[in-house]
Amino acid sequence: MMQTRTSQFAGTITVPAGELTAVINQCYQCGKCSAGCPVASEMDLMPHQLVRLAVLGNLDRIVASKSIWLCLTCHTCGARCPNGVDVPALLDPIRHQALRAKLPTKESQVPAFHNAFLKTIRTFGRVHELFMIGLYKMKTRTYFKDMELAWQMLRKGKVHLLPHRSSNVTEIKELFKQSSFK
Amino acid sequence: MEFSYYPGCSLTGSARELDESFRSVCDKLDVQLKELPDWTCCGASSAHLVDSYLETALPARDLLTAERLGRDVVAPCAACYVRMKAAAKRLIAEKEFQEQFPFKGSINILSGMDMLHLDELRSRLKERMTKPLEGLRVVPYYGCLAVRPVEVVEPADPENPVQMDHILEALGVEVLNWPYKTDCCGGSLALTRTDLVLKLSRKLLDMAVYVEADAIVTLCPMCQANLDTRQADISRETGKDYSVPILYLTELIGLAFRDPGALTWFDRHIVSPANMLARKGLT
Repeated sequence: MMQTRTSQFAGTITVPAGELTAVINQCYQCGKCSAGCPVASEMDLMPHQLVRLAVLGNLDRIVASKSIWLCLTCHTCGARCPNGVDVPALLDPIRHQALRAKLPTKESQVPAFHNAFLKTIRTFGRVHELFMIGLYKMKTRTYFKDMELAWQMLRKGKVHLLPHRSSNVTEIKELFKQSSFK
Repeated sequence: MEFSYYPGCSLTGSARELDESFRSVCDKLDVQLKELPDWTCCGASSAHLVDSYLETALPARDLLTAERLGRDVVAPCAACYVRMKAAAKRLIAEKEFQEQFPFKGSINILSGMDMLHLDELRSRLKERMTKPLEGLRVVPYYGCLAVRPVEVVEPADPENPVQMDHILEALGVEVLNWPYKTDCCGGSLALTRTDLVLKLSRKLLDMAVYVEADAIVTLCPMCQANLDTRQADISRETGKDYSVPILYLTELIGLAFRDPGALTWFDRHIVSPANMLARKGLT
């Protein structure tokens, strides 16, 4: 297993062992991933730089980047890489560890959204958009953003006022208990 | 032909017209859809970012139900389809899941596009269609999840998918060539970095206008929502008037069947296709 080297979170964040490390070590920095990435222009570290940092074991910089949460997981990089490196596949385990260790993040509204999304599933077994957006807005204090759109969606019958609660919701809660999501 | 049907959360809410048109088209094509009993959410674009176990466990319980029922599953939502297929592969590859989720892999998982592209259904479509959609010019927009991740979807050509083109051609629609078949619309950043979604969606809309398309056609609920709901914001930002209808493939199939439900589906869109369709003599 490749450990973080001069890490302030020493031992907290690691690149998972085995296959993934073998794959990222094949990267020869051609930059094709960054050329095709739809959000590269917004990133503080471009996809090929993220891969290089992972090869060098410098995961602190990845965790502290905006890029780790701006990645759309569109997998364009993975589809085009001549060496089979898929950047979201590299980032997923790093994101998991960063969230579990509650490390500070840039673009923190992005993990806040995913948190609200999963809490909604845990509560109802399915997504209820109003509940999920409510949770997200409380967390990020963006109460008035997109209100006009929300009203239009409601009027078009695209948003339900009341949630559907799956009768299997206890089973879903059980799955959440076995996970690291709290 | 019979399938288990996994609508997923979007199709019960923001993508209701996809659910309604999908069911209606299947009915016309003699495809029996049996909704998976008491299905739960697949985890969509969030679970895999947050927790490796949930990413697989959430779709796993629906996969087990589907396998017990013994029918192939069709999931019209592109995200549900990819999450189910990724989970199915992992359940078989990683033994530690087998005790809790003894999934054998005896059923297939189909996207809506996979199902509609089956030879038999395409020939039924051609036979039974009542009104070919002649004169309609569209760009096919597949989005990310119809082709990627490539190791999950295993597309014939990840840069140039053609299944939707084939179905549209069968309907008599003119399919225009454009470079953004599989470019990302911004997907899961819709609420968190709306500015980026506006930028990416605008690029797609501009190209559709440039090639003089009457509409963008997709099967992905996230793509449809981003492109349909953000045009007013983009117009406000740019001072240009954007009003490109974003239609589901199944809505156009329904229109070719002269399905009376089509008016209800189109009414759910933020950018109404009514004027465009009337101009083309298609309503």
